[in-house]
Amino acid sequence: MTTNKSVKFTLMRSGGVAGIRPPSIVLVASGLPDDVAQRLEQLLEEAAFFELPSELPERGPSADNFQYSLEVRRADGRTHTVTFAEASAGEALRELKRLVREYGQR
Amino acid sequence: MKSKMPIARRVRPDVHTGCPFCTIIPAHMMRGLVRSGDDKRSSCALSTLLGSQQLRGQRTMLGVLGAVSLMTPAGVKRRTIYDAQKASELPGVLVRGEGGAKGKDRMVNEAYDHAGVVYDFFSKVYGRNSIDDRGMRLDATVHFRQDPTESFDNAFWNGTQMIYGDGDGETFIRFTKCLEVIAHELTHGITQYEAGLKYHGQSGALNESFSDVFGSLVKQWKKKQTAAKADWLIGAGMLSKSVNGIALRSLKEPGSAYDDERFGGKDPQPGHMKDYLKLPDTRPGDNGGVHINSGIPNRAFYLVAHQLGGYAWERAGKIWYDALCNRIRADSTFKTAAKATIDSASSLFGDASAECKAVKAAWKKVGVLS
Repeated sequence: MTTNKSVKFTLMRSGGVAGIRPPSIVLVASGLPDDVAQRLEQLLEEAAFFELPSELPERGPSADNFQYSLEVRRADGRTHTVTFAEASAGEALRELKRLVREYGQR
Repeated sequence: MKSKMPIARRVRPDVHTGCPFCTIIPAHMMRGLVRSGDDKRSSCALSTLLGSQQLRGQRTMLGVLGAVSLMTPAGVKRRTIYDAQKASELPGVLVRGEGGAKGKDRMVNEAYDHAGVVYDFFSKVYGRNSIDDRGMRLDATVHFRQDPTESFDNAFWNGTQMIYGDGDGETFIRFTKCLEVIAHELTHGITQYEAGLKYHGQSGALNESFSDVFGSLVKQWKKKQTAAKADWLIGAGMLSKSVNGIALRSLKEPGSAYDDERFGGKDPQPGHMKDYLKLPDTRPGDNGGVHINSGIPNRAFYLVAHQLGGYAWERAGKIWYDALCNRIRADSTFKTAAKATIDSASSLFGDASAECKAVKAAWKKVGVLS
């Protein structure tokens, strides 16, 4: 697998009892250590991110749950955004979100 | 898979998908489904399958809890508090059942005590037996984290139970602290069983507003406060000292609760239709601003309570409760909700009553009726 270090991730959160929308978290893979950038690539593959529907269906009639939107922009300009609640996301997508939060900047 | 399996209770069919059960879809199955194409149909079928497994799980749990009967006599309060131990598995470890001794964990004690006050309020004031009016057990999970590496800054109703995070300590203190926040979450349950207000657009803002209205009323009832004495705040005392704000929302003065860049700036709630915020009806758009435009019906309620004076739960609250249970429907708008509350006021107190006049005047003042 080749590492594409020009990928840009943007993570937004909405919902929650407070209803606040904190500033987005942005992560550009070019500034990262190789192993982290590689892991991000791997997770995009594992999550089949670019094949995911733009909204992952949420379970039942919940209220005040956090909603996340993760936008990924590749060097070639290909962009995809997926909206999900944590509980409806797969492991790979959850780890992607975790890494963006850990290494990204508000 | 089984280690991730939550225990869910059967609820009404999901209004969004028509699924007979509401469940969490396991990660690896989700991946497969997404790749398979027709994910709505597949996830519904999967939910049904999971639901039956979860019901089996629930029977096991009922055995552990002991004498829990399926038929609950009226006016019996049953609280069950679980500890997620900073993980996402639901419901977590059972830590306190009804009548269990107070422990050392503050969040457990608060979740238990506050849920009891909410139960008592609806029972004594409006004669309601729990969330579903049929004695439903009040389940709550504390110390929940959706991601084990991140503190959880939220409280929510997942369709069957309440879930509370510890808060990060930097912006939010624990989410069990405020009685009105716990009452807000439980009222989402009541709305689900009554009007069933869809969680988007104006019906979603009404859903949020009913939770704020009864959230505040429960606190006022507990404190024996009149409308004039009440603070009309949601989440007062839950923000850490470093936050520039006093609460999450104000029913009295929508838009005045906070102004902090970590919260995305100033409290965006409008108190009048002219300032109604048109956000996209998408989940990133807060489903059309359900937590934002709720400021308008919130203020309408405050104006009624203020005009009538005295204890707000006795007349203004009674009108709103009657409308929620008997007149408001899943797709109600602000206008149809306004008419519903006027009809409730008229049937409870009479056409020419001060109550009916106050309700009409309030909806006009916030620009919903002309």
